[in-house]
Amino acid sequence: MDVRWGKIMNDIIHISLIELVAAAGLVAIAAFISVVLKLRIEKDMAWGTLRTFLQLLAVGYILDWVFSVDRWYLVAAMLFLMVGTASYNAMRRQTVRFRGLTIRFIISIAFASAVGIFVGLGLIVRSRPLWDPQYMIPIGGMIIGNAMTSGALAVNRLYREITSRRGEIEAALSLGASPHIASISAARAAVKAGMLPMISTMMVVGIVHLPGMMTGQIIGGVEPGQAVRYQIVIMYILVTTNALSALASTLITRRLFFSKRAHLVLPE
Amino acid sequence: MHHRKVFELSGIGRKKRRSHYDDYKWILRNLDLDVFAGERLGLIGASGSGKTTLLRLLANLEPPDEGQILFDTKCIGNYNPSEYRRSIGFVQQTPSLFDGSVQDNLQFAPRLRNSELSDKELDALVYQVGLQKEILNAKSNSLSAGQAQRVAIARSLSVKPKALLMDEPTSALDPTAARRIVELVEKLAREMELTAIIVLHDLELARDSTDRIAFLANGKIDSCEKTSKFFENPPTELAERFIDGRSLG
Repeated sequence: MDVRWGKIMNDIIHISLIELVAAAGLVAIAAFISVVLKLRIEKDMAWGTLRTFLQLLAVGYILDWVFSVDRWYLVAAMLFLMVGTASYNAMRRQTVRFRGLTIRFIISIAFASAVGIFVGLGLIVRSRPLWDPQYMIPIGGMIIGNAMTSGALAVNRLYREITSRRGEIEAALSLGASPHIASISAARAAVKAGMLPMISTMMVVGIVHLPGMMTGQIIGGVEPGQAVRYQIVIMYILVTTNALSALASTLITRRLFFSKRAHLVLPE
Repeated sequence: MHHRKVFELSGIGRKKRRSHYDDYKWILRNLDLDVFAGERLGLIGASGSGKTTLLRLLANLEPPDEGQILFDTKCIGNYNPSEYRRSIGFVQQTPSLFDGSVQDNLQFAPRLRNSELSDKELDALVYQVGLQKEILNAKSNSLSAGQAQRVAIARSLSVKPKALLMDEPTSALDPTAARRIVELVEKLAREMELTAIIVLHDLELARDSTDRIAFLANGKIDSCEKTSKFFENPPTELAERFIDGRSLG
């Protein structure tokens, strides 16, 4: 048994509060750079450091509790909370925030994540019970987070495409095209924008970029060969969830750009 | 001569706001206008007088907030939107051609209805707007502004419209090209017995190529008169001042 600073449990080195504070001291180097270069971000940095500490610590306690109580409804509640936060965040990330966005993100992120979770956990990882928090919470969180990113990117792009292609869309409408046909290029560009980052990540994963879950598992004592398999499964689930989230959010937000009488209206 | 009304607008009002934070302002208010079959009507007025908005209402690209527009005696709100728009050719101020070739642009509307124009029909269409058939394979983004405007007109004719609406063709073109485009529309209207409504900035062009002038001011039709009469003897003081303000040759 490797004993360092005298605290070993399940082969994992545990980090004490004192060590956490020491790590926070590392931020001082970053703060020093900010001061020397007059970047004026020391305050934000301090605030960020504090928030990271408090937020993650709080989540840690909540997760400890959820894991120990081990009830499906607590896991479900956490997933709902994640979907809600992700949707709100996706809305906040829009350059133009119009009415009805959050609810549309909730629907599309929940839908895409549900598919990802059921296929990934239910059919491939086959955690039993399905809601086993050890799998559901970290993997569900990753899926929801990715659905958020792709949905937010897609809708942002959709707005830009529709406003910049306004003339083209109205030309198509005036030739008798339906709103669907008239905005299909814009919708395509939006869905693509939502999917591309994940595809680029897949190209370099393991070479340039070591995914957090994999590194986490390895630190947690899982043999790298197994950790990698998990990561592969996760990547494939994420690609699918991304595509579904980009597609669903594009399709349901696009409706806000057209009136019932097929006029192009920019949502407010 | 032309007695059948193609469009009948009564009590039209349209309000808009620049952004979410602004108040709505009436762009058009209490506007009445009749447009007769086969005529070429020029819409003139100062910038911001609502000419483009009026044209967009006629094209059913936006709805009026007040009043009604009859097309062939039926309210345009009662038509299926795409069916209505297919009976109207609408040419925007700057031609928004679709990506792809000229041919793709001309086939767009027919393909929506699962048909295609034959080679002969395509040739005839480009010939009608004064272009050579070689242009059919050109990429739409490789055209000059004048060519693009002609392709846009040909595209709007591909639905065999009953009326042609055109928004200020002069803004994107040099004066000669603009004049040619307006003359082309005039010729098409005559040959195809199309009703044409053209928003015009250039009064000389308006004088030379329209049957009747509708002068917009303060959100309504200030006056509507036969073109020759309108310029010789402006019907209102406002119209007279407007004509005087633009030096006419």
